[in-house]
Amino acid sequence: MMNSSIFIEIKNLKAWFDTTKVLSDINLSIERNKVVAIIGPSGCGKSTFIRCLNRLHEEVRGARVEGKVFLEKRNIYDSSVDPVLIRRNIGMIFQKPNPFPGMSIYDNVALGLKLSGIRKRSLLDEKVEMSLKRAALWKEVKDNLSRPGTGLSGGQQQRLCIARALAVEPPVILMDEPTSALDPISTAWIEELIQNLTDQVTVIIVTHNMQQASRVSDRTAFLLNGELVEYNKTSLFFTNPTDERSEAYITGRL
Amino acid sequence: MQTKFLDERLTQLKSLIASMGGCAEQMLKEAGLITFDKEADREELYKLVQDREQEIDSLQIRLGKHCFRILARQAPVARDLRLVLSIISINTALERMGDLSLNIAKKGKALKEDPLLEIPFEKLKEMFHQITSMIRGCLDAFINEDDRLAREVIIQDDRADQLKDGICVKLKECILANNDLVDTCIQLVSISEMLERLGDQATNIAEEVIFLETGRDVKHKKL
Repeated sequence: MMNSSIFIEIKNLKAWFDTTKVLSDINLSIERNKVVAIIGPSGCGKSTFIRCLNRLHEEVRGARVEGKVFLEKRNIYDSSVDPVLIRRNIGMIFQKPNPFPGMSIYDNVALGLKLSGIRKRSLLDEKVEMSLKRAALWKEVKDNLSRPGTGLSGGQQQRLCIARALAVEPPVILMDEPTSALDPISTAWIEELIQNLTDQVTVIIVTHNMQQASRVSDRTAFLLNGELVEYNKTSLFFTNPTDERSEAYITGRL
Repeated sequence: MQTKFLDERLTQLKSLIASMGGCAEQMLKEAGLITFDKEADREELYKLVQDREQEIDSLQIRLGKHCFRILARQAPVARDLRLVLSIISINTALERMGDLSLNIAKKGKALKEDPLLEIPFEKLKEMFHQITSMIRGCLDAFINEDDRLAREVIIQDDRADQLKDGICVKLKECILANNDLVDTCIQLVSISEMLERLGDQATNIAEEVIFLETGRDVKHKKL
């Protein structure tokens, strides 16, 4: 029986690329409105893991997933679930900001809303403004929303992508190294934003930057060779990890 | 390699703590000689204690700077972080030990003997041994990464407190027997209190060792 505070429950999750197993038996519970950091060395399965949480992994040719991922009480891998709807409800932010080329700042944010059937201009205006405000971008772009999104700086583009994801009010946002291409100031903006999002959103962030994981997350999951080695409160994980491999990894001695 | 660099810096910190600890041990030993050894050259020993106290002070500043740089530049985590945090606390404890031993030496230098004070002197000597053992124990526990030994040091602190209380009772009796001994007795009370505080600092170090080795904060808690 699922604990009532558990929002996402991952059970025996396994993933493959063709015959290569990249995730083995991951079991993990995530509470609502928390930030979970996924860390581990390159190739350990971090990105694959979060791509399994919005059914993006199966889009790769030859890729396969087994196991269950419950979002609230519903298994997103149930045969009755439409993966497109899942991807629409679970936002994803990638390493490189990817605003829709040729589209204005406004349209970048409004597109998801329009696809979900909202046509009324005043409602669109309201939701675009709210999303840009939540992504801490509004003040910088409010006077020129018709500018192309690709004309913004890297940090602003990433916040635009976050605003775009927030517009459809997803309960979960996945972030795959969202600041690795950004300067320290833009990184600080995004990190602050992540903390502020948790009044409404559960965030799962893959990061190579352990200081970032330590700063922004409530819990940290350490993956190694496709296995979940430790899943612990971040405050404990970075001060007194329980597994020797975690200690070795975070102190650079693995 | 970055980790090797950090390891070298951490080893350097530990050896600075060992040097400070060595100074603190010597200072207490010399303060003991000043207090109890009739044949000792008190002035010469006192000068030595003063020099060591200055050495501890300069080591404290050096160690503090190293810790600050490591935190700022290496951002240590897990055991490395606990080690730096422990060293910062131990650094402060050792500097205070230096101050206390210097003050004991100063008081010891001015002491006058009297046959009536034989028992409190013997008790005080026992307390010196007890505190010396605690200081050695906490430093050994730190160097050898031995939290079991650290726990033994913490347990010994109760005995040190009992000895101090016993000394104070005896000194009160001495004062009542001979009013001329008041000044000397006050000096002896003061020495016993400083020894007790040295024991407290050794306990603080032992608690830091337990935190370092286990991640558990045992301050103000039962072991």
